[in-house]
Amino acid sequence: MNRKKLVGGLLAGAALAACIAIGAERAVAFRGGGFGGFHGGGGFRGGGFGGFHGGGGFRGGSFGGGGARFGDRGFADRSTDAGFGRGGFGNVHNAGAFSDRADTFRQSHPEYQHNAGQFQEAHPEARQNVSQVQQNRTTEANQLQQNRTSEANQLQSNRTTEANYLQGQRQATWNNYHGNWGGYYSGLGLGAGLAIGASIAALPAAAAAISVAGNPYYYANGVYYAPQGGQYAVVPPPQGAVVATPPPSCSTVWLAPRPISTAAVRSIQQSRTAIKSSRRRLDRLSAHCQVVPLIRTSMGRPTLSSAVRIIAHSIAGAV
Amino acid sequence: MKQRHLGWVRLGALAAGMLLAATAAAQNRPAAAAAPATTTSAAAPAVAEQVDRLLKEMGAYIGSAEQFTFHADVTFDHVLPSGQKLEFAAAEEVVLHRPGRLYVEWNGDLGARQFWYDGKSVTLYDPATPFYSSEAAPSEIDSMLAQLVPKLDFAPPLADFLYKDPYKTVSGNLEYGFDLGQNDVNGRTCRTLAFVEKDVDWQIWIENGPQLTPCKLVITYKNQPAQPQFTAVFSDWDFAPRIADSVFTPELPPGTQKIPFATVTAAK
Repeated sequence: MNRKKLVGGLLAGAALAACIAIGAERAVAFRGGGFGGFHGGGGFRGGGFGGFHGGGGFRGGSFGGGGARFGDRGFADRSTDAGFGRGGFGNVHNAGAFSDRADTFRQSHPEYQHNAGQFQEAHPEARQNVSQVQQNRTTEANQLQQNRTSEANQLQSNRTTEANYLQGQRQATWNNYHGNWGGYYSGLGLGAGLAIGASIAALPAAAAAISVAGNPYYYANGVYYAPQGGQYAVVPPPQGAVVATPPPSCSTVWLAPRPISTAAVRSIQQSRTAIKSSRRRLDRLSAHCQVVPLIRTSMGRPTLSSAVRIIAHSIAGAV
Repeated sequence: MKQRHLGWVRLGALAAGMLLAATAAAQNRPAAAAAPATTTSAAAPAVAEQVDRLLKEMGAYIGSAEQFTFHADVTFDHVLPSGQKLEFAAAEEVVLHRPGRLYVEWNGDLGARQFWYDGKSVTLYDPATPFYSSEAAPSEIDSMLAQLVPKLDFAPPLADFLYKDPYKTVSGNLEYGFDLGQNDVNGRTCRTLAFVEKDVDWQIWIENGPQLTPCKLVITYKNQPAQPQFTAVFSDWDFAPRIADSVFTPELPPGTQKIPFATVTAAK
């Protein structure tokens, strides 16, 4: 019997020894202060939220709320201290003590989460509204993007169309211009279809031989011909050609010191502008028409400085 | 019989020995197992020499003044529990007279505060409420300010510049400091200094010229959610103000009720 008691006692003692050893180990750790914030490792200072605590913190009275400004007690923590230095806010020296408590608020106010859930349960339309707002935003964003894309495409299309139109106009103008040349030719009794490049076997009887830059040409009734392989090709007026008789379609503009009509003045101004801006055009014209200084004296005889006679061609844009 | 008895005795001695050995081992276990010992000393702050000198000179200029007033336009952030960061504004007026008188007036988007200190007590009043709080305080400004945050969990913003040694107040936790050059703040030419600490980054603009006063201060609480900031633009520094004594006496409307300050309580 005594033996059993002794064995039991020894076993109990061994168990007790184990328990004490484990406990001793933990006790040492506790003494060593290894438990973080318990020994003031910063963080949670101050007692709670809501009310007028810290930052000029009051307690008691009816000043329990402080979140009234935001409609929820303690919701906006800063509203309780007006920003006046709670936790040392606004000071470098106490920066370590400050905590905006956005996270710890939730931890110490689980009812906030619960209330938020309750609110959603009571107001399912709020959740729907949020989703709807998000959907609306997405839809609107997509629509705006589509609009932008469409607008960009339309602008591009417009530009292309306009460019084509302008090109066409230029071509038409060029063609028309050339057609006018041709038309001019064809409008002088030479018969329809006599365009630049056309060939004739025999020159008109009134054709006069001229030389431009050493090249032989023939001119008759406003049409220039160049000999080509035994025949005569209709060519554009060569630059620098001088003829005795301008084509019938040329109109004469006289610039004189005596009073002239407004229309004439306008025409003269346009002529001057044309002359200034486009010598090439004038050169081209001069092949067809002539710029001849009119010499007139004060006694009726022409003087060089008094006037300039411009023989303008009827082609659009010539003068 | 005797041998069996001896065997049990040996067994008992062995158990006792085990008990003693376990206890001794637990007690002798080094503290490192419980909490790691700090084996490295804190590194000296890496602050540029001219930065440190300018900060010190500013501190000396302000701290040596017997009295001064200044105005500050403040903007500060508040982060909602949802994570949204809001910015608010305020204006602060400071009237200081050493060794033991201080008046701070705060008017902002979130309310107003009036703070009086007359060398005997501190008084805080919210004009929007019928309450104020007052408590005994040390006789000098430095001592009074030093116990405000630990005890009452607040200190008037910009209190760093109210100490006799502002340099010592703001440089205690510096890790890094550098010069950002010269900038203008509301027409004042100021030198910009930037500092890094464990909990905040901050910048201070110090005016060039004989009056080495702060032009601007920005504090970024970089370890807080959304990193809220506090910004103050200083103006109207006056080191020869004419201050009536009544400025430091609480002026409370009739009917206001005294309530106690909420004190800091340790976490359990």
